[in-house]
Amino acid sequence: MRSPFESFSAKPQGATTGREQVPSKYELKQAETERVMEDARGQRAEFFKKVITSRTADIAGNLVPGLDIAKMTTEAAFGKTSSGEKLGARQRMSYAAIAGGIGLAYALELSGMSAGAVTARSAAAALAGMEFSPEILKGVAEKAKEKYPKAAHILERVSDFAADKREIFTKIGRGVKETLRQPRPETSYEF
Amino acid sequence: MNFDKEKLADLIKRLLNLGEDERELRLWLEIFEDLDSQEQKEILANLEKEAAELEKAAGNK
Repeated sequence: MRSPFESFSAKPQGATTGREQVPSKYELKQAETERVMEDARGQRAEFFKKVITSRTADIAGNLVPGLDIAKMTTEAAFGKTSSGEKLGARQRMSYAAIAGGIGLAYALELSGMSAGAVTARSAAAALAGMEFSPEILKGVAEKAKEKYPKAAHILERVSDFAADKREIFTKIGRGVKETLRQPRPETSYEF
Repeated sequence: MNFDKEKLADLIKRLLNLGEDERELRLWLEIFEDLDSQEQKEILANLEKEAAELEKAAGNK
């Protein structure tokens, strides 16, 4: 795809000193714009993660004594992509929104499970077996609307966002499932 | 629309003119009312700072 700047004939070229190129004013301005956007998006990604972790904790907080479901799902969701690929700074906010939505969907699904069935291992296994798509996230939000209206609305909006960024969604979803499938200590609880 | 949401909408307009990602900003507008007041202040502060810095970098201010 052609860069929108390719046809911009007035683009100043950097002056050269023979061996190295000195960035032009235009390039410096572009670099500063990139830096500002990356910083701001990075901060918003962290902020979104905080918001989602707090909503997930509200939902899953006391579901299973001794098992921090909010931590388990958000850590899995915000972990690495399955390929170990490093995300560019500009993608971080999209990643946080989608990962957060998946973490929240897990918590909402778990909140509908019977407490007796949930142990550290069985919860992870059950969640790892779930297939999420942006449309399924929307379904989870719909089911949770009455009990958790604000969390459900966030998830509904994130599901639309994820549908527009489906490629990133697929990548993250695969990574979350792999994380949840990793062996964890057997823990069981009496109810 | 309440005052803070109007402020957010104005900030978004400024940021779109400065080249920010339309889809991400729309998400913030859509979930703004699901955030508590402290969270709303935080996101407004982040976007305000970014808009001011981008305008400075572009030589608009």
